[in-house]
Amino acid sequence: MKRDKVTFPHMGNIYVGLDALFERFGYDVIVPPKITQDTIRTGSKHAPEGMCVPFKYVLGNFIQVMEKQDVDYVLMAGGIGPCRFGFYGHMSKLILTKLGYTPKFIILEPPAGRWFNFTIDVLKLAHWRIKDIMPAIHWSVAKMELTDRLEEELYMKRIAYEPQKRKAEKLYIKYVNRIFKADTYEKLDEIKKDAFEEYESAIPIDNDRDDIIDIEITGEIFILLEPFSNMDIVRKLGEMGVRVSRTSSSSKWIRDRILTFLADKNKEKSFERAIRKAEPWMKVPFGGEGIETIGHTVEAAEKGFDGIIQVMPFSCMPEVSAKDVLPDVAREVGIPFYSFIFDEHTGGAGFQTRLESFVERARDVKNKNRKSDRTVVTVA
Amino acid sequence: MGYYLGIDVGSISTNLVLMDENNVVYHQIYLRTEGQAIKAVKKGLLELRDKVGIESSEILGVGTTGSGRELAGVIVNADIVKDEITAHAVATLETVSPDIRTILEIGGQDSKIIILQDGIPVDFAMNTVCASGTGSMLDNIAGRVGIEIEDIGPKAIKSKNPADIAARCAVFGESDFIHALQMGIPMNDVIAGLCNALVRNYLNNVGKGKEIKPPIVFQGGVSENAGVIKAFEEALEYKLIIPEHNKVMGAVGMCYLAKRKIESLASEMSLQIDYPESGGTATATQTMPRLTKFYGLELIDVAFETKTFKCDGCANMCRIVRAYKDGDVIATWGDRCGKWST
Repeated sequence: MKRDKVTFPHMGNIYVGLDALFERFGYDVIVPPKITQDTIRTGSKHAPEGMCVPFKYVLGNFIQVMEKQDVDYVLMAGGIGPCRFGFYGHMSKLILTKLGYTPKFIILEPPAGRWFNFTIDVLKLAHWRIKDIMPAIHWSVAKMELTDRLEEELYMKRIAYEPQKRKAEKLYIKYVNRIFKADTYEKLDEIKKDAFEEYESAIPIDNDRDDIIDIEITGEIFILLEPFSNMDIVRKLGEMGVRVSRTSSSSKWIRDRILTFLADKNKEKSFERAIRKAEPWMKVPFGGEGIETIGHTVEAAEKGFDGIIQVMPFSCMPEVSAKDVLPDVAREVGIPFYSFIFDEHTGGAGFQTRLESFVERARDVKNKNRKSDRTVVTVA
Repeated sequence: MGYYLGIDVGSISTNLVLMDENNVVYHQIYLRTEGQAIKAVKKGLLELRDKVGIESSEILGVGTTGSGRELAGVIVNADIVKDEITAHAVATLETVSPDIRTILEIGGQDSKIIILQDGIPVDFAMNTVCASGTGSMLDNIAGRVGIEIEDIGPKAIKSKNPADIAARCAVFGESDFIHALQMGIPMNDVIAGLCNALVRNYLNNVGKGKEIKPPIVFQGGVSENAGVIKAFEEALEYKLIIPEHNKVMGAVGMCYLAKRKIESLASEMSLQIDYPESGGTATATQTMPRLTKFYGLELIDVAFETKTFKCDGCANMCRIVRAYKDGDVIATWGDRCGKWST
């Protein structure tokens, strides 16, 4: 019997989870080619000029897949509220239809009050294998979470210490590939153990080095998670001697935004906490991750980070709105702040200059605070 | 005498500054980059050798900054390569005063603001994708009616009643500019309006959300322009300090940074930099091993070239740039994946 082919766009490590999910539902999973210059070239050729750049990556990815083969299903997340992300699925469908590609689109809207539609969509996607749904979701989230853990706890923290350039990245790619191929929970445990051990011996953390600083990245989710789209900000910071953290990940995003029914109702989610922290400055969410960005800035100062960087696509309304209050927020809570806007451009000279300057400032401020023995004033 | 050399390769100009060991700027060179960084750097070095009479052995350390800092750093084999914000801040703190609170810097295509506290740059901003609010806005709009960039300042300060010119975008600014002239508003008033527009754009864009406190220093190419200085002073209600080497502050900063680097190398090796009495020639370097990596002024006669090719390793098709010195590869860059980079 012919198996259905399914595809989805890239965003950070989400492919690891989606591949695992659909494989359990009996699909032929077509993972799109890694995002490259070719993706954005293709995407911006067919997308409306004024659209924000993540859409161009998503559309480019779809076309890259469909040029090579017929696809039966496309999975895309949807959205509600004042952010263009909600249009992505519907608009890709229109553009792809014009180009002669007619796969079935399943657009998962967050189930805010629309439980019926959401359930039907999930059941359709799962080929009505009701019993398989929960175990498949669990497995898919487990894979994604491990990938994110390796990225955040090992790769992003150890670039600053690597003995040869790109050593941390090479190890990370090796382990992600192993996770991608793994087919049992036992194998995931084994990979986790191996990865932590190998990083520890190959790139040990040297806590005596006081030139190493900690910087958190926040902002719009796609740019935050997709290295090509943010000019490899994590690796560039790492090579400047920074231990990098970020405020969201593929698995957190999926858990908080799509799989809300899995969450413990009594526990405050990280984005809810961020919204609470943003309250002195902004009381009403205004789309995308805008309000969370404000809250995360406050939290980064509380956690003692040496700097916070906001990343966003050009013309991103929620993040631009957040950016207008962020200099004040950052000054009040006492954390160096900088904001970067990304679009189709690949000229990295200006970006490199600003990034280097910011890291220097953050380091100077840290040394100054250390000397004067002053603790950073934080707002609870 | 021993000197430190600072090189600032910007989008519009390439500046070289030679500073002696007593922190006195001995010579400064301001050249147009014209898109050819290697040529501009060589031209500057040639002037140092042939007109100023400097010998390679007198140069104790070299630092590069500016958007072309990496390429320039490779060509001369610099001791230190640093971003412009740090270079400008160091120059101001060292040559003007450690009490400075704000630095305004406007160059050809870049504009920056640096906020300092207790002699440490703690915050900064740079213009984003747009060059409105930089020198090129003045250059382009005034150039359209045949006014040289040097004449803008003297004309602007004569105006008593500046015209209103849109500040948000240089294209809108230009149509307002032409419109004002067509209406018969005198040239001096229109030019003064243009200077006000530049300042307004800078303060609302680069300076947005920053607390601008005195003492304020204004530097970069545009700080030569009396019209812009007047517009800033009216908008901020503070006097601006224009440093002596206002046009080449980035390069001055790199002299200090190169000096600090060499001195820290020397102290690591527990060497004393034994500066000779002034008037002596190369003796500084005879008493100790040369610490600088600088190729020497001989590099003027060395053939440097860059070649590019497209890597077909993946769909990124990165354009790889290779720098050759006398036919040997000295550096490679331009790839995303690290396959070629050195």
